[in-house]
Amino acid sequence: MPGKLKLRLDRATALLAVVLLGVLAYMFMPSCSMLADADDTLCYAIANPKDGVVDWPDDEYLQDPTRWHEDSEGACHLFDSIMTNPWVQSEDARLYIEGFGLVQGHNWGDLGRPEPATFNPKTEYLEIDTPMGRTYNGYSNIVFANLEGIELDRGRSLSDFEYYDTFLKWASAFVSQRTYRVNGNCYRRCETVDSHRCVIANTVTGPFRNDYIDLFQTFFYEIDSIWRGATIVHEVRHARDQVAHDGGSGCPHLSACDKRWSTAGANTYELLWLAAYYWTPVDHPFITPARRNRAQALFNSRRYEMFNEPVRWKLGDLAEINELPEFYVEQVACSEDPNHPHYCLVLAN
Amino acid sequence: MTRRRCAPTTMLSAALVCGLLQFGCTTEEQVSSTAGGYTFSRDFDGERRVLRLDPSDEQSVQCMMASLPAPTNAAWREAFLNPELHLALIDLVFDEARLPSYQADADAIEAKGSFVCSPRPGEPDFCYLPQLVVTGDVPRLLSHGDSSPLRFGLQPEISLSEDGQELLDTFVVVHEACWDAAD
Repeated sequence: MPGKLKLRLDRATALLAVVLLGVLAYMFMPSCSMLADADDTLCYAIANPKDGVVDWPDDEYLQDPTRWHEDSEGACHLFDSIMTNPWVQSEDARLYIEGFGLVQGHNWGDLGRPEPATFNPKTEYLEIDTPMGRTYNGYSNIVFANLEGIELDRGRSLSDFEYYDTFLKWASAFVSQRTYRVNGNCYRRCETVDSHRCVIANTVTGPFRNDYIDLFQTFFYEIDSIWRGATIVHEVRHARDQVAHDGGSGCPHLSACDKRWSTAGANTYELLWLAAYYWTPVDHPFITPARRNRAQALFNSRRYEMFNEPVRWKLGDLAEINELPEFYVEQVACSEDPNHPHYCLVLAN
Repeated sequence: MTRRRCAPTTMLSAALVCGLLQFGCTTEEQVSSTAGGYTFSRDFDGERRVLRLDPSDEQSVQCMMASLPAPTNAAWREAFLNPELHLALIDLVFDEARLPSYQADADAIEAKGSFVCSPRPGEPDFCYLPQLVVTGDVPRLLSHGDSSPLRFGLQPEISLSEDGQELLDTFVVVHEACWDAAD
């Protein structure tokens, strides 16, 4: 009898061990995209340098007509040009941008940190073709949209609206203070192999841990630098604030959607930043008409794509966002009845 | 054989540590939006219909249909369509000769579109604008900035151009084909 019991116990233990092994194997199984790098990924380019030099996928980007942006006079601009991004000439600006969480980030050494802009022998121009450079360009929109640029003290309390007297200044401090780590990644995260519908970035957060933001190939090469800036603001809202998307499949972008504008989620923050960027003085030294047009187009598209309930606010309704930033970052209940809360001002839907 | 029994306090401490560890390790991953593809979204007559196309796959489409306000768990369907039907919709969007009509349609809804609202207890009124919106890397409408969405109003006071009406009708056909094919 004890012998039979022992045998059964051994079988049960073996079965348990197999199940545990299976669970462990499943947990640590790399995704298909990581098993083999398609030859159009950054991972492939990094692993296969030509004569020791990584062939960054910039040529395709430059030829793509959607990457060129027109101003009101019909002139074309490329936002990733070295001429329009002050960090190229300034070590201080690079250090300031690194302070947004990039300095704690992983993988940037492989993604161009040693040489964020490279010389292209074909065109004989210095080009911002590395993921690091493209990321600096995204942050440049957050930093240089403020006239103070890198002189802005981003360490003050976020409720200090005497100092952060425009939404753009407040947003720069918000991005600095509300996230910990920003990682670069060389792979794409697309819905299916060869799909063009790919994840731009994601954020991992939780109690008792440092949050981190992961940026993917799509962030570096498939969206422009203004969209990159808006994406950073979006992701930071998920990070230390831990505000999750509460929308869902009733909206075109499914789990990346928020239920409505007034829940003040990541999409609302992204749109507020785009609106503030758009509503800057016309003679702004950094925000050219082409950049302003792009912010307008992004605002107009994403207000339809990212919310389950249609957004009633238009760009014109947010014209004072840089004059009254505190008005836009606090939800104000306009109903006195606590049983029927109804948020007003611009955060109401 | 002797067995040592764990003291209740030891067991309680172990359970507490395990629980805290689990809580501490809980993470939440938030995906930001995706880039790429084209989206057609129509809010009309208390119903939302959405169609997503990926230009890299000429036959695959995804579609959703739900009553408004759209729930957070609406079902999506995926279908492989007749390539001609699929291309018909894309061709209409990218036909440059039609851009002036599309621009006039976008101007009309901007000027005359009005929200349809219904009250909800304890929440702000639910409001929507009856329209079809096309987003993605769509052709540029000059008066609406760089790659702004195409918009077509669906209210009696807004007259649609013939080109706009054709795009709308084709959208309905493709959406129905997707929804029915996936049944």
